[in-house]
Amino acid sequence: MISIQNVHKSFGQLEVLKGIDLTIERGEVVTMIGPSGSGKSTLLQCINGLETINSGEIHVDGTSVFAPDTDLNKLRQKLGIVFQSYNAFPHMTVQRNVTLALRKVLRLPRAEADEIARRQLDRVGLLAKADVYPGALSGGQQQRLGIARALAMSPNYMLFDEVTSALDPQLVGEVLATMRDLSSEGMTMIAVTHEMKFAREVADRVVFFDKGVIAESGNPEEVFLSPKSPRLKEFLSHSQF
Amino acid sequence: MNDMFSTGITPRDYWMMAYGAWKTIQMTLAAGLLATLLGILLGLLKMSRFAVVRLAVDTLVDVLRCIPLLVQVTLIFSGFAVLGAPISAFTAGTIALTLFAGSYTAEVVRDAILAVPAPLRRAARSLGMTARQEYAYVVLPLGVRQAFPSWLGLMLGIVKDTSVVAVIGYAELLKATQTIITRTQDPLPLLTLAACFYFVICFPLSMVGGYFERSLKKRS
Repeated sequence: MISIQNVHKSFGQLEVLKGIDLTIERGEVVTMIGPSGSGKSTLLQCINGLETINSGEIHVDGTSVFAPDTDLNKLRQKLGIVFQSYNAFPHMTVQRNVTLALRKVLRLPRAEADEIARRQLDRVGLLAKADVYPGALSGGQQQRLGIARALAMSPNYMLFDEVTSALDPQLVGEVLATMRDLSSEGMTMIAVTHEMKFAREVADRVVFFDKGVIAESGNPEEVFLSPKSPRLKEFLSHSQF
Repeated sequence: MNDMFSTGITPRDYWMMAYGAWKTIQMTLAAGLLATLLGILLGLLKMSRFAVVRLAVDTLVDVLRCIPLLVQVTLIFSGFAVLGAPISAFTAGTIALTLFAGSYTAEVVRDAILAVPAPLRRAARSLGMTARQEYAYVVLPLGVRQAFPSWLGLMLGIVKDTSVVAVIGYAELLKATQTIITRTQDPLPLLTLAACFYFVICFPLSMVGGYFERSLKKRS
């Protein structure tokens, strides 16, 4: 379970999170929608401690993310994150991108790491590219590599930061299928997205962010078909779902 | 015929210059290695989270870069002598070149590390890597690719800057050449020959560097 309690976060004078409360149960798929700059991505990065918070609490499986005695490196092994900007390591082959953390963080033997990597690459349709460098991949392929790299660590939670924004249209379906597979395996997922159709289809719960607060949340039908707040109504009027 | 009274270039002169070139290479290797190590150390310290450390390193680097190498070489050589602990011309020259090139290397190292995209470093940490692992597997390999061309330029600079050490009597290539010129009184052919020696030392370094650079580029 991830529990977020009264989280405030500022970048200098700008307060981007103004008291966020959110609990995500194991096995749940939560999508976060809202205008750019509303704080969704920042919150995602706070959950695994890549960003710090000014006040409040975030717990992952009972461990406080910002307690001084928390081993963040250990905690991050539970939290896979896929970034908007792919972030493939450009100096390593596709396969080594996936095996690096398996070998160095989990200290698995090479053969085992290679096997896991090839399985995950196969899952995202990149096995044929195992030996090329990321520079030779399309943006969509690099993003799938990012997903495979995070999945290889067998995390309890997967955080997706606008992961479909950069994907080729024909690959979105495949990623959705991968995410459904994941959720049926009990994977808890939090996905920040601007793709409303995707947010509606894949989610158990949709959270609408606006100006640093959660303005509305609920199951996809409620949020998309009968929005209550004027801000959400206005936001949805600009999108198709 | 006795070489000592000849005004032409004798076979012994070629050997003397070749030996001078070898001494140039020796000092380049010593100073190049030490300057690289010093530069890495200073470059990392330049990014220390302690302001005092950053200020100290920045001051040192600025001082070293603002004093002509010729002055540094002379000061170090005579300074040790005045203090009653004379050092050889080789040691003094190597120290001066190490400090001089090391301060430039520090800038190269710092810029290379800063050139590694922050999101990539985040990605490494998000996989559970420690800060040390992030450096070892992501920041340094990418930083080396970034720094290599500038670093190679500094190393070629050391080859040529060894000629400054001639002023304190280190018989490297230029000093050897000057010594022969005092006898032949005909500087042009000898300086041309010295120029060829420098070129022969630098060019392969440049070629190997270029090859290495291309092969790094191919793998990314």
